[in-house]
Amino acid sequence: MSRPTINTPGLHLLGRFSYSSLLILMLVCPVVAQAQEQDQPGSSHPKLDNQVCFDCHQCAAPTANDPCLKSCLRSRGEHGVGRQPSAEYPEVIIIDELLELYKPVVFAHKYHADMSKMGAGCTECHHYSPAGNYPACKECHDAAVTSLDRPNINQPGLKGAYHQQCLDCHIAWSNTTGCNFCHLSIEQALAGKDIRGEGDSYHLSQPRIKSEARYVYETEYEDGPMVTFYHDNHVDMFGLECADCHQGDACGSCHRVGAIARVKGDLHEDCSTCHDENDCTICHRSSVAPAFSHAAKSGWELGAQHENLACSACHNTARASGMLSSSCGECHQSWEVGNFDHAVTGLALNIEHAELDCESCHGDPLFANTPICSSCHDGDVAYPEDVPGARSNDN
Amino acid sequence: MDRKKFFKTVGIAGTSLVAMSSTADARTRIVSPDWMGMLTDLSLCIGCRKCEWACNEANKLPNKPIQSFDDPSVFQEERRTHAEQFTVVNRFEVDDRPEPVFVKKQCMHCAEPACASACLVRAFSKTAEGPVLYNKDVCIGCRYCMIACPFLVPTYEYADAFSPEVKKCTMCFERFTQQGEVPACAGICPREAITFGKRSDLLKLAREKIRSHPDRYVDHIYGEHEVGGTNWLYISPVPFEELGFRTDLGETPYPEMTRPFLSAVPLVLSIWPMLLMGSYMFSKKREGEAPSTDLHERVDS
Repeated sequence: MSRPTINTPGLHLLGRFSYSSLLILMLVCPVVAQAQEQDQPGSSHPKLDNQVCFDCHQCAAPTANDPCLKSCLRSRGEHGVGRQPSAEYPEVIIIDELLELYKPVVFAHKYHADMSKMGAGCTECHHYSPAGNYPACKECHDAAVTSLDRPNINQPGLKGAYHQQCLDCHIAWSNTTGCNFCHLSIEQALAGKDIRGEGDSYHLSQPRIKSEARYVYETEYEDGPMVTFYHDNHVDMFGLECADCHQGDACGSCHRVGAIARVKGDLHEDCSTCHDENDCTICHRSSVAPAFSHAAKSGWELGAQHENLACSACHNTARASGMLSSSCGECHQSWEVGNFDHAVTGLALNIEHAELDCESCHGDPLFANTPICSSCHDGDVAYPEDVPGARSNDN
Repeated sequence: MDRKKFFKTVGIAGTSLVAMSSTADARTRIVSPDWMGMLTDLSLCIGCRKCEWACNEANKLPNKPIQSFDDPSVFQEERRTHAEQFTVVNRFEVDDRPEPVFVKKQCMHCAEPACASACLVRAFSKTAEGPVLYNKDVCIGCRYCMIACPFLVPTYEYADAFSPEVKKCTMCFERFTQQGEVPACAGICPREAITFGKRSDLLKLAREKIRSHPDRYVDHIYGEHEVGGTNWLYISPVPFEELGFRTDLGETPYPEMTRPFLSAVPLVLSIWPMLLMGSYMFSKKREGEAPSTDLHERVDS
């Protein structure tokens, strides 16, 4: 038997169904029926023939762009991933509805919202919420559930909702379930400490992410089986954000001891965002590749002042491959007498020299080159035998 | 029909009668849809032991300050319920799982309780509301209930020399029937890992949870069928045998295992004496009819 196809009388039946549903809908909500003359409800909700509009929608004329869905809907599929601009959500929320045993919780909402951007966005916590409308937990979850007249045992009460949502991540992160991790201790409360606006200090309790500096992969590509990936180079120097590669990960896949967060997508696709996909030798080598070396790549060794900078601090292009001239002034345009602390070079200038223009000694814009003393001094003074101040490493 | 044949027939008839009555019982077994029950979601339990504290409070058992229940050192060994503690939470480390699983243990409130079946004086009874309750006024202290319980739940007040009782969880019967509150453990659980409700609703909830989160739960509701069903149900992220649950108990209610024997007892006690007495009298009578000949024969020889 082949499957029934839609070019059978079934289609006719379908049409009858949607007409009858339209009749029902016209009885129940005439305004909607009017608004949907062009867009039959049956076409967007083929399975919900007998569904009453206001079960899901809160306005009379929902459209595809503005479905005006109710907040606490469950099990009606995806409502879309949503994010709100930071200005629209609260920074810190004081949770003090349930105070039988513990003091209020200062919830650093902003930080959690920022973190959620790595994953599913606001819906990571505000589940079953239509996009763009994220009600507070208590709007759906009833605070009074210890009584027997609980309307729906399938839906946790407010206390259960808080602890289920918060602890799912917190257990995965750090495996801490201690009450005082979130709840203000009674001592703090007794000391009359003002807890409002202290979200920052709570942010610090997040466990640090540990990653290997280098990962070596053996692949099946014969011409270059070894792929060496320097994770720290990519994060610290190349300035990639975690979410540039790790997308859709739960917080706990990185933030916990021993976590190994593998990039889920196609690696070739991810890497080729920056690297040329057609040149296999960029990644595939016959042996372990050395780490990125600025000296080897450009011939200019990064000194102590530069080696900790991200590429983008000097290179303005996204790929950081644009050549810079070797003139210091290209970046350090604002250096003048008075705002440059010469001591950072290892040589603190004495008073006589501190007031001179840079060019008086450094005739060459490459400041690393030997300065010229002869423009002022006679031939008996020369660098590096004579120095215009004190070497700081002598002290 | 000779004597031997008669006994054989009676014996077979009696045994088959007993067997028939027991299978009829099994078929008409009723798990009431109105029974109240509890569902423990082990994927949610964090081992905070607030339920232990609340249980002690509600049952007026010796208690400690609530902060002292944060001490994780009690998890070093697996604990059992005892006369002064009706519920305990144990920790289980499971392979390939970074977080431990915590298991709350208490009376399962069986649909057909073995304790009630073993009790000589009906001190245990299955209430219409679901909990299995104990009546201290009739208990004779034989402690057969403790031996009978497959979950090792009922415990005895050995320390009390004069009026010891058997102690166990009551599912806070009075609390929910008279005060309109959910059982103490369910009320305090911060993550609502324990849900109180009609057993039929809890089964639906458990199935829905397993269906919508197949990665979070194993497909097994402990207590749905075990020992004929219990009013306390569990769902778990790992197989139950790894968490100290007995999965070898079968689905037959414990009372049913002894029912064929026990229901034969009155039969044996009433019919067998009659039969044996009858046959004795019969043979005695025959002996009395011809005693002289026997005597003569003996004398003659």
